[in-house]
Amino acid sequence: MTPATRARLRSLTVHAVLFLVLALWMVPQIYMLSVGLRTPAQAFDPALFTWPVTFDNFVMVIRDNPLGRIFLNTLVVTLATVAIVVAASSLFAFAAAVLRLRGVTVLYATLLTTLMVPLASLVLPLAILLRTFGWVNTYWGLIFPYAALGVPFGIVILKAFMEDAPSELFEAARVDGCTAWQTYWHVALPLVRPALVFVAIWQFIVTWNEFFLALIVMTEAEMKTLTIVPMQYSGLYMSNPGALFAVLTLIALPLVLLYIIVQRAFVGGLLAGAVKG
Amino acid sequence: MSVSRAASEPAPPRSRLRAERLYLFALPAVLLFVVFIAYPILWVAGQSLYTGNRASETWAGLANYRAVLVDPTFWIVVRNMVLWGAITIPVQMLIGGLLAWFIERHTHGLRGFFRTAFFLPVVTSVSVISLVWVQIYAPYYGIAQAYLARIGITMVSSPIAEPSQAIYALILVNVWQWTGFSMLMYIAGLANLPGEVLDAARVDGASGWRLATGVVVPMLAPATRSLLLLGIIGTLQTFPIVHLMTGGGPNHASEVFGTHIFRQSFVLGDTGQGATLSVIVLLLALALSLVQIAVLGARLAPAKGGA
Amino acid sequence: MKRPLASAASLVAASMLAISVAEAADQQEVTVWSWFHQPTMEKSIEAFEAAHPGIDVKFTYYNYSPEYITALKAASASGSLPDVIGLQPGSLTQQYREDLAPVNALAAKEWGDDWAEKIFPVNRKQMLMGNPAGDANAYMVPQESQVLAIWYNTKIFADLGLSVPTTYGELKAAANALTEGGYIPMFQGAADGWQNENVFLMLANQFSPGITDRAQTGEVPWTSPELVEAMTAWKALFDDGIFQKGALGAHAYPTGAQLLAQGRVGMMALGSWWMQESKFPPPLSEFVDGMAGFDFFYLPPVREGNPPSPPVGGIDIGYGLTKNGADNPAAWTFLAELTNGVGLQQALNALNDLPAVPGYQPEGDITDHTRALYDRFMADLPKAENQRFASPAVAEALDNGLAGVAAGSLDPEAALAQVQAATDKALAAN
Repeated sequence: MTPATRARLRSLTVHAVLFLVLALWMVPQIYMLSVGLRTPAQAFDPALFTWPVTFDNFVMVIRDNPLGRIFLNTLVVTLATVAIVVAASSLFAFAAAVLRLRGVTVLYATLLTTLMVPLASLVLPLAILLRTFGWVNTYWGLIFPYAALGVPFGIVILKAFMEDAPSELFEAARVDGCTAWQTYWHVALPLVRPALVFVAIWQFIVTWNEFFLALIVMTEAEMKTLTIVPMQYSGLYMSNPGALFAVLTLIALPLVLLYIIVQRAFVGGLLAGAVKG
Repeated sequence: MSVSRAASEPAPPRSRLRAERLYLFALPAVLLFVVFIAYPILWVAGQSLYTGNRASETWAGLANYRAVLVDPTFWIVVRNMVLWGAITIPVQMLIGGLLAWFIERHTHGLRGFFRTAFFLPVVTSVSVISLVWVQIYAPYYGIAQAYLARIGITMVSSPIAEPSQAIYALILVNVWQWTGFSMLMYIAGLANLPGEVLDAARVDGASGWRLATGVVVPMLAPATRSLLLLGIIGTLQTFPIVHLMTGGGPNHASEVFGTHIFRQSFVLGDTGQGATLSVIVLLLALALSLVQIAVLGARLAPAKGGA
Repeated sequence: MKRPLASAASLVAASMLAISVAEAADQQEVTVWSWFHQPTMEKSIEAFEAAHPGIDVKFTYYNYSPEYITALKAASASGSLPDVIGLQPGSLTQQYREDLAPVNALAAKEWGDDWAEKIFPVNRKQMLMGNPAGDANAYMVPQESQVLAIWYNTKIFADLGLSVPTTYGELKAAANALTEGGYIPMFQGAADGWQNENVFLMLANQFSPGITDRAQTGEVPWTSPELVEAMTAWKALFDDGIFQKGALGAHAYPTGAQLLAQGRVGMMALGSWWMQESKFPPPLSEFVDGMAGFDFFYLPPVREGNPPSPPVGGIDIGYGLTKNGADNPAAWTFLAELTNGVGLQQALNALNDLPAVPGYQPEGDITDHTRALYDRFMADLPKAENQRFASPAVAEALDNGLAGVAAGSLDPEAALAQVQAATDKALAAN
């Protein structure tokens, strides 16, 4: 065997194994789609695929439910949360990593513990707070708590990136007479752009998928967000798994598609962190 | 507003950089934290000292804490959390690391495809995932028992219904969901490995296992450290998967902090005990954070470790 | 000239006033939360709004567990409960008692001073269940009742030459025959606490009628011999192959109910509410068209000398007026019509369950067979044993005990001791 054929053989083996593992890995997603395409009589067949397929479930759940409105609610909440998280965490990271303000490190350590607070602990006081603000059944009622929960992770990432950035650049900006704001806007942000993209995409995924807080803040049918829908329907379609799984597929789909589109930038953000090392 | 006004002002003297208004940079994050995290935590801490409902609230001192700690369920939870972290974190690292290695070193055209495909469970909502896995695990019509039967493994019941298996069955789902994340972190770490180092090691005769353990694994240490940090955070935060798949049952067998808190305060309506559990978890989180900051450094980066 | 002008002005003013009153009337809104089957609730609301054009009902559907109890708890903590909430008697009602307005005065005004006596006895008792000593207020109005029973597939039974079992031996033989015939013998969704409770209540009440009630109030211990025997009989249902293999991980909904409808299951412990599936939109109702091929029986004696299980049941669902809703007159109007009026009638027409008060019949397209089943349930309802628990912690402990015993990780005495401990704690707190 020549080295070339050996390399080819190895590449083929690796690909074959990867595809095999991937096939296993995708079983739950495929199963979800498959059950969504079944008639009630087929729904409980213990097989990954059944034949024939029917699109009735999809037609029914799209026809019967205001999925468009729910989708829109989710999008508004998610985009606003991402914007706030990116802004607040980059500002704080700048204060901590570049300005090195007194006391900010202590604040940073405090914020970090937030990452470990179980959400179930915060739900009751948050409900009271949101009621006081009159934010039950409003977008703000979700956006601000989500942002508060998301900011620490953003800060951790962005602070590390800003610390890794060459300090001469910030020094040069100072010598040039830039204000702190100008340094932040013109120097720091462009420097950590890949990380900003990473934080934004990650926050998008997390916010889009959160369901527990959404459940208690959005109590009116027209304000509900996508992740609440599966549980609602697991009761509503209690005797119709096909419809339930059609809903699940419709809910999972937007984010999967979105991720496929942005994955290059997302991985790029991670790689950028690596390249500087 | 004042921050943006500063942009149009002439160059400040050095001392101006230290001006108090610079704290405005930290303000938005701090404000969010104080209102939506710190205040709720203080509320919870206060509630942990009372028993009864709003109307009949009575001061309980540390009685709730005593009650929580003598409750055997609490210790089941502690055991489950330890299991969760001890299994999830290394297994995800191992599978994720292997996937990353093979994808980065041995694929070219399909690299983006594999990276994306293995990551998809991460972007899928837990509320979707849990319902799908309940069906997969189901007895009679579930596909797990059907396909396992073909290779000679009989699964009589759903693993999430067997007290001895439930927690492991949930850990499996969690590993499945999050391995893609470990993979990506390692991919980023591998991209940082200079090709020359690997080539040089190869020329030196290092190959296979020795190359991996001697060269690659140490160089991936920063990514591993970040994953450990995130893994511990994730473990303490574990809630949705368990909540939606078993609710902590059967008979508390798969109880974790999140579900235990939820059960106490929502199902049983005992706000005081729920709050007490929350405070205990918070103290634990605080202790773990301090240890992590001291030992590992408080930063997340796939490469270039330490603080 | 002045007078007509003035009167014209006053006329204008009066009409403006009338318009503004009418407008205000138009804007009367009632907010309602419940886990009640949404399409049926929408029919009830439609009928109500037709009868009361000035009132607009906003309904939010929640899945019962965990969504509904989560939403209620959060709304209660923050004082933002809707006007009317769906309630189960006992533990759920008691948990929110402080948020609820007593309905006695309103109910007496609406239905007469003897309104409570008109409610079926088991319901009446459950309505007040768990109230602190001396509190005779009703915090909920029952809407629907239910009777628990074992549904069975008459066609499969006929094919296999089986008849309704009257002894435990016959039940076991029937289960064996069903298993051998390729059917699920008796489907138990043992992953659902409520279904386990239901079967246990059937068992316990045949050893000693009403014993679970006495155990709840502390009159007899949960560890008394009858209850230990009932717990042992519960375990035997798994060991003797009466429940299907893998029952522990199975859910009654959607799995069990759907498999039962599709003719893959011989028997299943559900109740009178299961008839509603015959009213679901196709394709689901095709399997249970007019309830043809299905009938019910009560669990036969599991020990020689026992009677068969008595009917067990009570309130399926009731509604409470929150303190927020007490300020909104329209809220009571809706609650009254929903529990005893046009709203209830719509729910009954959908065969959602049995009424909580006498004097109602489902209307519309209902087969003779279905009506016969319905009448049998209605005849048994007045003598039904109580199905509900006054304390959530006790129900929870029983759920855990039943799961532990079924899985073999707890013995019956230990399981019941847990329940006793929870009961002691709950009684001490009251």
